[in-house]
Amino acid sequence: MARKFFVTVMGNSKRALIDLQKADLDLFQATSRVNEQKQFVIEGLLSLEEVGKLVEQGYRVLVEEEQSKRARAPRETIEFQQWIKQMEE
Amino acid sequence: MPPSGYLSASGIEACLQFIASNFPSIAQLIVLPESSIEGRTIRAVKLAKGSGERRGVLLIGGVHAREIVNPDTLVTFALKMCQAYSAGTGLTYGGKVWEKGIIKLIIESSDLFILPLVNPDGRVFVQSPSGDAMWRKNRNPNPGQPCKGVDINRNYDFLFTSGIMTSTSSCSDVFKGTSAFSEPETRNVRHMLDTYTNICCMADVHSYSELILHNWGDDDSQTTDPTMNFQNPAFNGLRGNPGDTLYKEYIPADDLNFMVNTGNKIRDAISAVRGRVYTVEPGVLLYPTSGTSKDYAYSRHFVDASKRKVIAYTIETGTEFQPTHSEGLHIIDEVSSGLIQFCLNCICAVETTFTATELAGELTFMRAFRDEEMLRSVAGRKFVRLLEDHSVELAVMFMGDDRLRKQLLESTKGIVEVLRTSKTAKPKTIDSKIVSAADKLLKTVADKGSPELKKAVGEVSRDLKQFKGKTVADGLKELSRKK
Repeated sequence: MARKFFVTVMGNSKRALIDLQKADLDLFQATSRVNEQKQFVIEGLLSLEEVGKLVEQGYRVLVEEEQSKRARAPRETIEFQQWIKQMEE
Repeated sequence: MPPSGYLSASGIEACLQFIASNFPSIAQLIVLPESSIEGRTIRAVKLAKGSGERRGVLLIGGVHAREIVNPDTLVTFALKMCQAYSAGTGLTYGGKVWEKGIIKLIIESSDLFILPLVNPDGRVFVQSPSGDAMWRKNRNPNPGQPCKGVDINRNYDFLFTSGIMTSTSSCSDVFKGTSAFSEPETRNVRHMLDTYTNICCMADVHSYSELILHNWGDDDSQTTDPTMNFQNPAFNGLRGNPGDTLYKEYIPADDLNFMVNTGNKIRDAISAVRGRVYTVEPGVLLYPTSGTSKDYAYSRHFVDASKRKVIAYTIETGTEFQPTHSEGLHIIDEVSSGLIQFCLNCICAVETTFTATELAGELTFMRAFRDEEMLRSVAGRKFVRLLEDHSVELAVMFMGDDRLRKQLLESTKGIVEVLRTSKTAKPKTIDSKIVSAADKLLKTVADKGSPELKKAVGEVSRDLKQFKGKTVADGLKELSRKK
Protein backbone atom coordinates (compact mmCIF):
# COMPACT_ATOMS: atom_id res chain seq x y z
CA MET A 1 0.00 0.00 0.00
CA ALA A 2 1.41 3.41 -0.99
CA ARG A 3 2.34 5.79 1.81
CA LYS A 4 -0.22 8.51 2.18
CA PHE A 5 0.07 12.10 3.37
CA PHE A 6 -2.32 14.65 4.75
CA VAL A 7 -2.48 17.46 2.22
CA THR A 8 -4.29 20.68 1.42
CA VAL A 9 -5.28 21.03 -2.22
CA MET A 10 -5.75 24.56 -3.58
CA GLY A 11 -7.61 25.46 -6.75
CA ASN A 12 -8.38 28.74 -8.45
CA SER A 13 -12.14 28.31 -8.57
CA LYS A 14 -15.01 26.43 -7.05
CA ARG A 15 -15.30 24.55 -10.34
CA ALA A 16 -11.69 23.41 -10.00
CA LEU A 17 -12.51 22.04 -6.58
CA ILE A 18 -15.62 20.22 -7.77
CA ASP A 19 -13.71 18.78 -10.73
CA LEU A 20 -11.51 16.93 -8.26
CA GLN A 21 -14.36 14.49 -7.79
CA LYS A 22 -13.53 12.84 -11.09
CA ALA A 23 -10.18 11.69 -9.72
CA ASP A 24 -11.80 9.56 -6.95
CA LEU A 25 -9.41 10.85 -4.32
CA ASP A 26 -9.77 10.72 -0.53
CA LEU A 27 -10.76 14.35 -0.06
CA PHE A 28 -12.60 15.54 3.04
CA GLN A 29 -15.80 17.29 1.95
CA ALA A 30 -16.29 19.05 5.28
CA THR A 31 -12.97 20.86 4.91
CA SER A 32 -13.83 22.56 1.60
CA ARG A 33 -13.65 26.32 2.03
CA VAL A 34 -12.27 29.59 0.73
CA ASN A 35 -9.11 30.43 2.67
CA GLU A 36 -7.79 33.84 3.69
CA GLN A 37 -5.92 34.11 0.38
CA LYS A 38 -9.26 33.62 -1.44
CA GLN A 39 -8.15 30.22 -2.69
CA PHE A 40 -10.60 27.34 -2.93
CA VAL A 41 -9.17 24.62 -0.75
CA ILE A 42 -9.93 21.11 0.46
CA GLU A 43 -7.94 18.77 2.66
CA GLY A 44 -7.28 15.14 1.85
CA LEU A 45 -5.19 12.05 2.30
CA LEU A 46 -3.15 11.31 -0.83
CA SER A 47 -0.17 9.35 -2.08
CA LEU A 48 2.74 11.26 -3.57
CA GLU A 49 1.76 9.89 -6.98
CA GLU A 50 -1.71 11.39 -6.58
CA VAL A 51 -0.18 14.67 -5.44
CA GLY A 52 2.00 14.72 -8.55
CA LYS A 53 -0.97 14.24 -10.84
CA LEU A 54 -2.86 17.10 -9.20
CA VAL A 55 0.14 19.41 -9.55
CA GLU A 56 0.37 18.49 -13.24
CA GLN A 57 -3.27 19.51 -13.58
CA GLY A 58 -2.56 22.97 -12.15
CA TYR A 59 -3.52 22.52 -8.49
CA ARG A 60 -1.26 23.65 -5.70
CA VAL A 61 -0.82 20.98 -3.06
CA LEU A 62 0.60 21.52 0.40
CA VAL A 63 1.89 18.24 1.81
CA GLU A 64 1.56 18.43 5.58
CA GLU A 65 2.22 15.18 7.38
CA GLU A 66 2.57 11.47 6.79
CA GLN A 67 -0.57 9.49 7.63
CA SER A 68 0.91 7.62 10.61
CA LYS A 69 1.61 10.91 12.44
CA ARG A 70 -2.10 11.50 12.85
CA ALA A 71 -3.15 7.87 13.18
CA ARG A 72 -3.80 7.54 16.91
CA ALA A 73 -6.63 5.01 16.85
CA PRO A 74 -4.50 1.86 17.18
CA ARG A 75 -2.31 3.40 19.91
CA GLU A 76 -4.89 5.14 22.08
CA THR A 77 -7.52 2.45 22.50
CA ILE A 78 -8.68 0.96 25.79
CA GLU A 79 -11.27 -1.58 26.86
CA PHE A 80 -14.41 -0.77 28.79
CA GLN A 81 -13.31 -2.15 32.18
CA GLN A 82 -10.33 0.19 32.26
CA TRP A 83 -12.41 3.06 30.89
CA ILE A 84 -15.16 2.82 33.50
CA LYS A 85 -12.66 2.26 36.30
CA GLN A 86 -10.91 5.50 35.36
CA MET A 87 -14.25 7.32 35.01
CA GLU A 88 -15.22 6.25 38.52
CA GLU A 89 -11.90 7.11 40.19
CA MET B 1 -10.03 10.82 36.59
CA PRO B 2 -10.81 10.87 32.88
CA PRO B 3 -10.28 7.77 30.75
CA SER B 4 -6.86 7.39 29.17
CA GLY B 5 -7.90 6.29 25.70
CA TYR B 6 -10.69 5.82 23.17
CA LEU B 7 -13.03 2.90 23.68
CA SER B 8 -12.64 -0.13 21.46
CA ALA B 9 -15.66 -1.15 19.39
CA SER B 10 -16.50 -3.82 21.95
CA GLY B 11 -15.97 -1.19 24.65
CA ILE B 12 -18.65 1.04 23.11
CA GLU B 13 -20.97 -1.95 23.12
CA ALA B 14 -20.07 -2.77 26.75
CA CYS B 15 -20.74 0.83 27.75
CA LEU B 16 -24.27 0.65 26.33
CA GLN B 17 -24.84 -2.56 28.28
CA PHE B 18 -23.50 -0.88 31.40
CA ILE B 19 -25.82 2.07 31.01
CA ALA B 20 -28.85 -0.16 30.51
CA SER B 21 -28.07 -2.39 33.46
CA ASN B 22 -27.13 0.42 35.87
CA PHE B 23 -29.96 2.79 35.01
CA PRO B 24 -32.85 0.45 34.18
CA SER B 25 -35.55 2.96 35.05
CA ILE B 26 -34.45 5.37 32.33
CA ALA B 27 -32.26 3.44 29.88
CA GLN B 28 -33.44 0.74 27.56
CA LEU B 29 -31.28 -1.17 25.09
CA ILE B 30 -32.46 -1.43 21.50
CA VAL B 31 -31.06 -4.22 19.35
CA LEU B 32 -31.00 -3.09 15.73
CA PRO B 33 -32.53 -5.58 13.32
CA GLU B 34 -29.39 -6.08 11.24
CA SER B 35 -25.93 -7.13 12.27
CA SER B 36 -22.94 -5.55 10.60
CA ILE B 37 -21.40 -7.15 7.50
CA GLU B 38 -18.93 -9.02 9.75
CA GLY B 39 -21.73 -10.19 12.04
CA ARG B 40 -21.51 -7.74 14.94
CA THR B 41 -24.71 -6.91 16.78
CA ILE B 42 -25.48 -3.21 16.68
CA ARG B 43 -27.30 -1.59 19.57
CA ALA B 44 -28.75 1.74 20.53
CA VAL B 45 -30.01 3.01 23.86
CA LYS B 46 -33.19 4.91 24.60
CA LEU B 47 -33.11 7.33 27.54
CA ALA B 48 -36.50 8.38 28.85
CA LYS B 49 -38.57 8.53 31.99
CA GLY B 50 -42.31 8.33 31.64
CA SER B 51 -44.34 7.73 28.55
CA GLY B 52 -47.14 9.26 26.53
CA GLU B 53 -46.92 11.49 23.50
CA ARG B 54 -43.48 13.04 23.43
CA ARG B 55 -40.86 14.02 20.92
CA GLY B 56 -37.90 11.87 20.01
CA VAL B 57 -34.32 12.91 19.30
CA LEU B 58 -31.95 10.54 17.47
CA LEU B 59 -28.18 10.90 17.85
CA ILE B 60 -25.93 8.71 15.72
CA GLY B 61 -22.16 8.43 15.41
CA GLY B 62 -19.34 6.20 14.31
CA VAL B 63 -20.54 6.12 10.71
CA HIS B 64 -17.10 6.83 9.30
CA ALA B 65 -14.65 4.49 10.96
CA ARG B 66 -11.65 6.80 11.22
CA GLU B 67 -13.59 9.57 12.97
CA ILE B 68 -12.68 8.09 16.28
CA VAL B 69 -13.92 10.51 18.94
CA ASN B 70 -17.65 10.53 18.17
CA PRO B 71 -18.79 7.13 19.51
CA ASP B 72 -16.96 7.98 22.74
CA THR B 73 -18.74 11.32 22.79
CA LEU B 74 -22.15 9.71 22.47
CA VAL B 75 -21.70 7.00 25.10
CA THR B 76 -20.07 9.44 27.53
CA PHE B 77 -22.95 11.85 26.93
CA ALA B 78 -25.49 9.06 27.56
CA LEU B 79 -23.74 7.86 30.71
CA LYS B 80 -23.42 11.36 32.20
CA MET B 81 -27.05 12.18 31.43
CA CYS B 82 -28.10 9.02 33.30
CA GLN B 83 -25.78 9.70 36.22
CA ALA B 84 -26.91 13.31 36.54
CA TYR B 85 -30.60 12.47 36.29
CA SER B 86 -30.33 9.68 38.84
CA ALA B 87 -28.35 11.81 41.28
CA GLY B 88 -30.61 14.82 40.76
CA THR B 89 -27.71 17.01 39.68
CA GLY B 90 -26.82 19.13 36.70
CA LEU B 91 -23.87 18.75 34.35
CA THR B 92 -20.89 21.05 34.03
CA TYR B 93 -18.73 21.07 30.93
CA GLY B 94 -15.86 23.54 31.20
CA GLY B 95 -17.49 26.95 31.45
CA LYS B 96 -21.00 25.75 30.73
CA VAL B 97 -23.36 24.69 33.50
CA TRP B 98 -26.57 22.79 32.73
CA GLU B 99 -28.87 22.91 35.77
CA LYS B 100 -30.53 19.76 37.11
CA GLY B 101 -33.92 20.99 35.87
CA ILE B 102 -32.63 20.90 32.29
CA ILE B 103 -31.48 17.28 32.59
CA LYS B 104 -34.82 16.37 34.18
CA LEU B 105 -36.72 18.16 31.44
CA ILE B 106 -34.90 16.27 28.68
CA ILE B 107 -35.24 12.85 30.31
CA GLU B 108 -38.85 13.30 31.41
CA SER B 109 -40.28 15.00 28.37
CA SER B 110 -38.51 13.44 25.40
CA ASP B 111 -37.26 10.11 24.11
CA LEU B 112 -33.53 10.31 23.51
CA PHE B 113 -32.27 7.60 21.14
CA ILE B 114 -28.51 7.17 20.96
CA LEU B 115 -26.90 4.93 18.33
CA PRO B 116 -23.21 5.59 19.04
CA LEU B 117 -21.53 3.15 16.68
CA VAL B 118 -23.29 2.65 13.38
CA ASN B 119 -20.23 0.99 11.80
CA PRO B 120 -18.52 -1.32 14.33
CA ASP B 121 -16.62 -3.31 11.69
CA GLY B 122 -14.94 -0.14 10.49
CA ARG B 123 -13.91 0.83 14.03
CA VAL B 124 -12.41 -2.60 14.69
CA PHE B 125 -10.34 -2.28 11.49
CA VAL B 126 -9.23 1.26 12.32
CA GLN B 127 -8.15 0.35 15.85
CA SER B 128 -6.33 -2.82 14.85
CA PRO B 129 -2.53 -2.52 14.48
CA SER B 130 -2.83 -4.65 11.35
CA GLY B 131 -5.71 -2.60 9.95
CA ASP B 132 -5.84 0.86 8.42
CA ALA B 133 -6.22 3.73 10.87
CA MET B 134 -7.60 6.00 8.17
CA TRP B 135 -10.30 3.64 6.89
CA ARG B 136 -13.60 5.47 6.28
CA LYS B 137 -16.16 2.99 4.96
CA ASN B 138 -17.82 -0.16 6.25
CA ARG B 139 -16.18 -3.53 5.57
CA ASN B 140 -18.43 -4.88 2.85
CA PRO B 141 -16.28 -7.25 0.75
CA ASN B 142 -18.14 -6.04 -2.37
CA PRO B 143 -18.13 -9.45 -4.09
CA GLY B 144 -17.00 -9.26 -7.71
CA GLN B 145 -15.43 -5.83 -7.23
CA PRO B 146 -11.78 -4.97 -6.61
CA CYS B 147 -12.04 -3.15 -3.27
CA LYS B 148 -13.80 -3.42 0.08
CA GLY B 149 -16.20 -1.03 1.75
CA VAL B 150 -19.15 1.25 1.09
CA ASP B 151 -19.42 4.83 2.31
CA ILE B 152 -22.43 4.53 4.59
CA ASN B 153 -23.05 8.26 4.44
CA ARG B 154 -23.51 8.14 0.68
CA ASN B 155 -25.80 5.10 0.77
CA TYR B 156 -29.08 6.74 1.90
CA ASP B 157 -31.97 7.25 -0.45
CA PHE B 158 -31.56 10.92 -1.19
CA LEU B 159 -30.70 11.69 -4.82
CA PHE B 160 -28.87 8.36 -4.76
CA THR B 161 -28.89 7.95 -8.54
CA SER B 162 -27.76 11.54 -9.16
CA GLY B 163 -24.13 10.64 -8.60
CA ILE B 164 -23.51 14.03 -6.98
CA MET B 165 -20.05 13.69 -5.47
CA THR B 166 -20.32 9.95 -5.03
CA SER B 167 -18.51 7.16 -6.81
CA THR B 168 -19.51 3.88 -8.40
CA SER B 169 -15.98 2.54 -7.96
CA SER B 170 -15.58 0.23 -4.98
CA CYS B 171 -12.04 1.56 -4.46
CA SER B 172 -13.29 5.09 -3.85
CA ASP B 173 -13.74 6.44 -0.34
CA VAL B 174 -17.14 7.76 -1.41
CA PHE B 175 -18.31 4.52 -3.04
CA LYS B 176 -22.07 4.77 -2.67
CA GLY B 177 -22.84 1.05 -2.88
CA THR B 178 -24.87 -0.89 -5.41
CA SER B 179 -28.21 0.66 -4.45
CA ALA B 180 -29.67 2.98 -1.85
CA PHE B 181 -29.81 1.14 1.48
CA SER B 182 -27.68 -1.72 0.14
CA GLU B 183 -25.85 -1.69 3.50
CA PRO B 184 -27.13 -3.10 6.80
CA GLU B 185 -25.77 -0.08 8.67
CA THR B 186 -27.89 2.39 6.69
CA ARG B 187 -30.91 0.12 6.97
CA ASN B 188 -30.50 0.19 10.75
CA VAL B 189 -30.65 3.99 10.79
CA ARG B 190 -33.74 3.88 8.56
CA HIS B 191 -35.22 1.35 10.98
CA MET B 192 -34.83 3.82 13.84
CA LEU B 193 -36.65 6.54 11.90
CA ASP B 194 -39.38 4.15 10.70
CA THR B 195 -39.95 2.49 14.07
CA TYR B 196 -39.74 5.40 16.48
CA THR B 197 -42.11 7.70 14.68
CA ASN B 198 -41.87 10.40 17.33
CA ILE B 199 -38.32 11.20 16.24
CA CYS B 200 -38.38 14.78 15.01
CA CYS B 201 -34.73 15.72 15.38
CA MET B 202 -31.55 13.93 14.40
CA ALA B 203 -27.84 14.66 14.59
CA ASP B 204 -25.22 12.57 12.82
CA VAL B 205 -21.91 13.26 14.54
CA HIS B 206 -18.84 13.21 12.28
CA SER B 207 -15.34 14.71 12.16
CA TYR B 208 -13.82 17.10 11.34
CA SER B 209 -13.89 20.90 10.77
CA GLU B 210 -15.91 22.31 13.69
CA LEU B 211 -19.11 22.70 11.70
CA ILE B 212 -22.82 22.43 12.38
CA LEU B 213 -24.36 21.60 9.02
CA HIS B 214 -28.06 21.79 8.20
CA ASN B 215 -29.99 21.02 5.02
CA TRP B 216 -29.42 20.91 2.15
CA GLY B 217 -26.22 19.20 1.06
CA ASP B 218 -26.85 18.69 -2.66
CA ASP B 219 -27.02 22.32 -3.74
CA ASP B 220 -27.71 25.84 -2.52
CA SER B 221 -31.10 26.36 -0.87
CA GLN B 222 -34.01 28.68 -1.71
CA THR B 223 -37.31 29.37 0.08
CA THR B 224 -39.52 30.70 -2.71
CA ASP B 225 -40.12 28.03 -5.35
CA PRO B 226 -41.48 24.74 -3.94
CA THR B 227 -41.48 23.16 -7.40
CA MET B 228 -37.70 23.34 -7.59
CA ASN B 229 -37.06 20.33 -5.42
CA PHE B 230 -35.19 17.04 -5.32
CA GLN B 231 -38.24 15.07 -6.46
CA ASN B 232 -38.85 17.06 -9.62
CA PRO B 233 -37.29 15.23 -12.62
CA ALA B 234 -37.40 18.43 -14.67
CA PHE B 235 -34.27 19.49 -12.77
CA ASN B 236 -32.34 16.25 -13.13
CA GLY B 237 -28.78 16.95 -14.20
CA LEU B 238 -28.87 20.51 -12.86
CA ARG B 239 -28.28 19.75 -9.19
CA GLY B 240 -24.93 19.65 -7.48
CA ASN B 241 -23.53 22.96 -8.74
CA PRO B 242 -23.63 25.39 -5.83
CA GLY B 243 -23.17 28.97 -6.88
CA ASP B 244 -25.01 28.70 -10.17
CA THR B 245 -28.53 30.00 -10.79
CA LEU B 246 -29.97 26.94 -12.53
CA TYR B 247 -30.98 25.02 -9.44
CA LYS B 248 -31.40 25.64 -5.74
CA GLU B 249 -33.06 23.14 -3.43
CA TYR B 250 -36.36 24.29 -1.91
CA ILE B 251 -36.66 24.53 1.85
CA PRO B 252 -39.62 26.17 3.64
CA ALA B 253 -38.54 29.44 5.28
CA ASP B 254 -39.82 28.38 8.72
CA ASP B 255 -37.73 25.21 8.61
CA LEU B 256 -34.65 27.09 7.51
CA ASN B 257 -35.13 29.65 10.30
CA PHE B 258 -35.50 26.87 12.85
CA MET B 259 -32.40 25.10 11.56
CA VAL B 260 -30.28 28.24 11.62
CA ASN B 261 -31.55 29.39 15.02
CA THR B 262 -31.09 25.96 16.57
CA GLY B 263 -27.68 25.63 14.93
CA ASN B 264 -26.64 28.98 16.41
CA LYS B 265 -27.76 27.89 19.86
CA ILE B 266 -25.82 24.62 19.54
CA ARG B 267 -22.79 26.66 18.45
CA ASP B 268 -23.12 28.91 21.52
CA ALA B 269 -23.49 25.93 23.87
CA ILE B 270 -20.31 24.41 22.40
CA SER B 271 -18.43 27.67 22.54
CA ALA B 272 -19.34 28.24 26.19
CA VAL B 273 -17.30 25.17 27.18
CA ARG B 274 -13.82 26.35 26.12
CA GLY B 275 -14.28 28.95 23.43
CA ARG B 276 -14.14 26.91 20.24
CA VAL B 277 -16.53 28.50 17.77
CA TYR B 278 -18.17 26.09 15.35
CA THR B 279 -19.60 27.43 12.10
CA VAL B 280 -23.28 26.96 11.27
CA GLU B 281 -23.96 26.56 7.56
CA PRO B 282 -25.80 24.51 4.94
CA GLY B 283 -24.24 21.12 4.27
CA VAL B 284 -23.43 21.90 0.66
CA LEU B 285 -20.35 23.98 1.58
CA LEU B 286 -18.25 24.33 -1.57
CA TYR B 287 -18.57 20.67 -2.30
CA PRO B 288 -22.05 19.15 -2.65
CA THR B 289 -23.13 15.68 -1.50
CA SER B 290 -25.87 13.14 -2.09
CA GLY B 291 -27.05 10.05 -0.26
CA THR B 292 -26.33 11.50 3.19
CA SER B 293 -28.19 10.85 6.43
CA LYS B 294 -29.04 14.49 7.10
CA ASP B 295 -30.70 15.07 3.74
CA TYR B 296 -32.40 11.67 3.78
CA ALA B 297 -33.87 12.21 7.25
CA TYR B 298 -35.25 15.65 6.41
CA SER B 299 -36.43 14.66 2.91
CA ARG B 300 -38.63 11.79 4.12
CA HIS B 301 -41.69 13.91 4.90
CA PHE B 302 -41.58 15.51 1.45
CA VAL B 303 -41.52 12.08 -0.21
CA ASP B 304 -44.22 10.61 2.05
CA ALA B 305 -46.49 13.09 3.82
CA SER B 306 -47.41 10.45 6.41
CA LYS B 307 -43.86 10.55 7.76
CA ARG B 308 -42.89 13.01 10.47
CA LYS B 309 -40.63 15.91 9.65
CA VAL B 310 -37.14 15.31 11.00
CA ILE B 311 -34.90 18.33 11.47
CA ALA B 312 -31.44 16.93 10.89
CA TYR B 313 -27.87 18.08 11.33
CA THR B 314 -24.41 16.81 10.66
CA ILE B 315 -22.00 17.97 13.34
CA GLU B 316 -18.35 17.88 12.29
CA THR B 317 -16.35 17.76 15.52
CA GLY B 318 -12.78 18.82 16.18
CA THR B 319 -9.97 19.64 13.81
CA GLU B 320 -8.69 16.18 12.88
CA PHE B 321 -9.95 12.61 12.60
CA GLN B 322 -8.00 11.25 15.53
CA PRO B 323 -7.07 13.96 17.99
CA THR B 324 -4.85 13.05 20.92
CA HIS B 325 -7.08 11.54 23.58
CA SER B 326 -6.50 14.51 25.89
CA GLU B 327 -7.86 16.80 23.15
CA GLY B 328 -10.61 14.25 22.50
CA LEU B 329 -11.81 14.72 26.09
CA HIS B 330 -12.33 18.43 25.45
CA ILE B 331 -14.22 17.65 22.26
CA ILE B 332 -16.42 15.17 24.13
CA ASP B 333 -17.29 17.88 26.67
CA GLU B 334 -18.04 20.63 24.18
CA VAL B 335 -20.07 18.45 21.85
CA SER B 336 -22.03 17.03 24.81
CA SER B 337 -22.94 20.57 25.76
CA GLY B 338 -24.07 21.22 22.18
CA LEU B 339 -26.17 18.04 22.22
CA ILE B 340 -27.97 19.10 25.39
CA GLN B 341 -28.88 22.36 23.67
CA PHE B 342 -29.99 20.42 20.59
CA CYS B 343 -32.30 18.26 22.71
CA LEU B 344 -33.76 21.36 24.37
CA ASN B 345 -34.49 22.99 21.04
CA CYS B 346 -36.34 19.89 19.93
CA ILE B 347 -38.65 19.98 22.93
CA CYS B 348 -41.86 22.02 22.72
CA ALA B 349 -42.45 23.69 26.09
CA VAL B 350 -46.21 24.00 25.58
CA GLU B 351 -46.53 20.37 24.52
CA THR B 352 -44.37 19.24 27.44
CA THR B 353 -46.41 21.22 29.94
CA PHE B 354 -49.86 20.22 28.72
CA THR B 355 -49.27 16.57 27.79
CA ALA B 356 -51.12 14.24 30.17
CA THR B 357 -53.38 17.09 31.36
CA GLU B 358 -56.96 17.88 30.44
CA LEU B 359 -55.60 20.41 27.92
CA ALA B 360 -53.66 17.79 25.95
CA GLY B 361 -56.55 17.53 23.53
CA GLU B 362 -56.32 21.26 22.86
CA LEU B 363 -52.72 21.20 21.61
CA THR B 364 -53.68 20.86 17.96
CA PHE B 365 -56.13 23.73 18.31
CA MET B 366 -53.54 25.89 20.08
CA ARG B 367 -50.96 25.20 17.35
CA ALA B 368 -53.48 26.12 14.66
CA PHE B 369 -54.38 29.32 16.51
CA ARG B 370 -50.69 30.22 16.76
CA ASP B 371 -50.11 29.64 13.03
CA GLU B 372 -53.35 31.11 11.70
CA GLU B 373 -53.92 34.04 14.06
CA MET B 374 -50.95 34.90 16.22
CA LEU B 375 -48.26 34.73 13.55
CA ARG B 376 -50.27 37.00 11.27
CA SER B 377 -50.06 40.04 13.50
CA VAL B 378 -47.15 42.06 14.84
CA ALA B 379 -48.33 41.71 18.43
CA GLY B 380 -49.05 38.01 18.04
CA ARG B 381 -45.62 37.35 16.59
CA LYS B 382 -44.09 39.14 19.57
CA PHE B 383 -45.95 36.87 22.02
CA VAL B 384 -44.85 33.77 20.10
CA ARG B 385 -41.24 34.96 20.04
CA LEU B 386 -41.24 35.71 23.76
CA LEU B 387 -42.60 32.25 24.48
CA GLU B 388 -40.01 30.60 22.23
CA ASP B 389 -37.15 32.59 23.78
CA HIS B 390 -38.07 31.49 27.29
CA SER B 391 -39.71 28.15 26.64
CA VAL B 392 -37.03 26.03 28.29
CA GLU B 393 -37.00 28.07 31.48
CA LEU B 394 -40.80 28.01 31.59
CA ALA B 395 -40.99 24.27 30.98
CA VAL B 396 -38.47 23.60 33.75
CA MET B 397 -40.36 25.93 36.09
CA PHE B 398 -43.75 24.33 35.47
CA MET B 399 -42.32 20.82 35.64
CA GLY B 400 -40.92 21.46 39.10
CA ASP B 401 -43.93 23.20 40.68
CA ASP B 402 -47.28 21.40 40.73
CA ARG B 403 -49.16 24.38 42.19
CA LEU B 404 -47.90 26.72 39.52
CA ARG B 405 -48.70 24.16 36.85
CA LYS B 406 -52.27 23.91 38.15
CA GLN B 407 -52.55 27.67 38.07
CA LEU B 408 -51.33 27.67 34.47
CA LEU B 409 -53.87 25.02 33.48
CA GLU B 410 -56.76 26.97 34.98
CA SER B 411 -55.67 30.18 33.37
CA THR B 412 -55.10 28.56 29.97
CA LYS B 413 -58.48 26.80 30.09
CA GLY B 414 -60.22 30.17 30.36
CA ILE B 415 -58.22 31.58 27.47
CA VAL B 416 -58.82 28.53 25.25
CA GLU B 417 -62.58 28.82 25.85
CA VAL B 418 -62.46 32.35 24.49
CA LEU B 419 -60.20 31.38 21.58
CA ARG B 420 -62.57 28.58 20.61
CA THR B 421 -65.24 31.19 19.82
CA SER B 422 -62.94 33.47 17.84
CA LYS B 423 -64.23 32.35 14.47
CA THR B 424 -67.90 32.17 15.44
CA ALA B 425 -70.54 34.83 14.85
CA LYS B 426 -70.37 35.87 18.49
CA PRO B 427 -66.77 35.68 19.66
CA LYS B 428 -66.34 35.93 23.41
CA THR B 429 -64.32 38.70 24.92
CA ILE B 430 -61.51 38.48 27.44
CA ASP B 431 -63.17 39.31 30.75
CA SER B 432 -61.63 40.70 33.90
CA LYS B 433 -61.59 37.24 35.54
CA ILE B 434 -59.31 35.87 32.80
CA VAL B 435 -57.07 38.93 32.91
CA SER B 436 -56.76 38.76 36.65
CA ALA B 437 -55.97 35.02 36.67
CA ALA B 438 -53.34 35.47 33.97
CA ASP B 439 -51.89 38.44 35.77
CA LYS B 440 -51.57 36.48 39.00
CA LEU B 441 -49.84 33.66 37.15
CA LEU B 442 -47.45 36.04 35.40
CA LYS B 443 -46.50 37.66 38.72
CA THR B 444 -45.55 34.26 40.16
CA VAL B 445 -43.57 33.37 37.04
CA ALA B 446 -41.73 36.70 37.20
CA ASP B 447 -40.90 36.16 40.88
CA LYS B 448 -39.41 32.75 40.18
CA GLY B 449 -37.78 33.53 36.84
CA SER B 450 -34.45 34.84 35.60
CA PRO B 451 -34.00 38.59 35.03
CA GLU B 452 -34.57 38.02 31.29
CA LEU B 453 -37.80 36.14 31.90
CA LYS B 454 -38.91 38.78 34.40
CA LYS B 455 -38.45 41.44 31.72
CA ALA B 456 -40.40 39.42 29.15
CA VAL B 457 -43.22 38.79 31.61
CA GLY B 458 -43.38 42.52 32.31
CA GLU B 459 -43.99 43.16 28.61
CA VAL B 460 -46.70 40.51 28.42
CA SER B 461 -48.40 41.83 31.57
CA ARG B 462 -48.58 45.33 30.13
CA ASP B 463 -50.03 44.07 26.85
CA LEU B 464 -52.47 41.75 28.58
CA LYS B 465 -54.42 44.63 30.07
CA GLN B 466 -55.16 45.90 26.56
CA PHE B 467 -57.22 42.76 25.89
CA LYS B 468 -59.73 43.36 28.68
CA GLY B 469 -63.26 43.57 27.26
CA LYS B 470 -62.11 42.80 23.72
CA THR B 471 -62.07 39.74 21.50
CA VAL B 472 -58.62 38.26 20.98
CA ALA B 473 -58.63 39.34 17.33
CA ASP B 474 -59.49 42.95 18.25
CA GLY B 475 -56.92 42.95 21.06
CA LEU B 476 -54.18 41.74 18.70
CA LYS B 477 -55.23 44.26 16.06
CA GLU B 478 -55.13 47.18 18.45
CA LEU B 479 -51.82 46.17 19.97
CA SER B 480 -50.28 45.67 16.54
CA ARG B 481 -51.43 49.16 15.54
CA LYS B 482 -49.76 50.68 18.59
CA LYS B 483 -46.50 48.86 17.87
